Amino acid sequence: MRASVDRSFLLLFAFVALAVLCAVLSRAQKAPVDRPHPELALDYTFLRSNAPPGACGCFNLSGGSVNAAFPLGASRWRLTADATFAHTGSVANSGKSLTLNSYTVGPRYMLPNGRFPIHPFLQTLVGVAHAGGAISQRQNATVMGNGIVIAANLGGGIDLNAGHRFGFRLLEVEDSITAFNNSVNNYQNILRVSSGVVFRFGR
Amino acid sequence: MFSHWTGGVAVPTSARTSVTMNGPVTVTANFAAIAPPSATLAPSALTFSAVSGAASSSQTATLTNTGTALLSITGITVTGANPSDFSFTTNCGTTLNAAASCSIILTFTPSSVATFSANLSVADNASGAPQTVGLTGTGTHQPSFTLSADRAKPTASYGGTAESSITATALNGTFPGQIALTVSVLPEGATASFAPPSLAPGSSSANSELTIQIPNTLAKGQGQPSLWHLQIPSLAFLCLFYVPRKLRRKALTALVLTVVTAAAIGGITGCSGGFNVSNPRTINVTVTGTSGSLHQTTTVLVTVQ
Repeated sequence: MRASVDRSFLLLFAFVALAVLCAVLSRAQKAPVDRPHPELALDYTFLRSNAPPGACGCFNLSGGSVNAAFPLGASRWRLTADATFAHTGSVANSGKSLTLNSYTVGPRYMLPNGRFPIHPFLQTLVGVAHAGGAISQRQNATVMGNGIVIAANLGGGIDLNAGHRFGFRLLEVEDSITAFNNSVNNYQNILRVSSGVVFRFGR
Repeated sequence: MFSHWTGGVAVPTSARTSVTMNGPVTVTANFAAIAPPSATLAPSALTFSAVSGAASSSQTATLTNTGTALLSITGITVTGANPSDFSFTTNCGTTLNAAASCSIILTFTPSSVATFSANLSVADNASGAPQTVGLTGTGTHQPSFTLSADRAKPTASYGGTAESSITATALNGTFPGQIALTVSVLPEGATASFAPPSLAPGSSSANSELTIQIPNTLAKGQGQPSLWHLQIPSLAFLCLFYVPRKLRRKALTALVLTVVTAAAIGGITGCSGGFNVSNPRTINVTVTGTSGSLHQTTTVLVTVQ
């Protein structure tokens, strides 16, 4: 219970901190921005985590993610929703599989890019994560039950425009935090790296 | 002229001489016959038992002059089949007064695990000499003990305990000492305790309950150092690279804020998160019993799952 409280506090703290960061950058930028468009990104996603808690019996998960961003007016802010699916057949050589799904939403701030066709951004997404596979027998949820826990993705990325409707997500790096029960501190800190394509819609 | 003298040892008791002129001289002498020396050596047999290569406790044979004359002792020896496995010391001299006794202290030191025999022989001038004592000794193995574990493959959960019963059983007779119990090096965070911490099996056996406390996590040895804490600062530097030059000063402020944020996150949570693999792991616990120079071991395999 204490761990859940700490985790919620952490997520709130991180959200506020990154919001402040984006606000600072927002005030700093006076140049006009391109007209924003809704966009959909399809990414390959790589996750790197560890087991058991406190030891780097590190392991990787591979999968994909679908990411949608909707402009909030003409500002640099986007409302972003992300669904990620990743899997590994053996966690830290244990022979036990793990399928990790997360569904998160939150704000994205597009950083100034000058005249370059690249679009760096920062985002803070919160939502839920679900663990499946053989390892999930011990990943009892501490928040929502049935293997579903609170999750957050904190990070950013870089998009490269390849046209009006199309672009590449060169790199998206995030710290994905989940709160699965691990019998120690009920906390996972997962490196998430994604890359893919971006489709833009609307005029 | 002595008539009717049959020999033996005699001492004069009185004498009278009668002289008659022109007649025979009559000498009358009275002698008391002395009984020849008599001696006993007791007991007639001694039995020893000792660990091979070690001296037994000593036993005593007593030589007694049961006669009235001085006993002359000409030699004390150990003879027979295995004289080298027996030794003695004595306070008997070369003579022993009537009614006196002396001691011969014998020790058995077997050269191997077998049965040995010999005779203690006292040569003297007593009738029936030499006096003998039959010696029999058995060489045995050194008393030892064995260790065994009941419930030798207990299971435990992370954060739980595993229990096993350790039994020390006497071997080669009564084990005279205390056996201190210890365990081999355990994984970090695991602890073990015995109740009681030492055993005295005596002539049979004794038990001690072993309890192994399993920590919440068991390290899997040296892992790679975690670089998780570099994620957010790295991301901040990445952002700085893409910020236009004229905005970099303010962006630097954002960078500092980011680093502070990362430090705050790290300070609050640490980097000790992760998944619980829950993969059963076997801990090989070696239990050692030590008594003096004796060491015996047994193994307990704890399955943690």
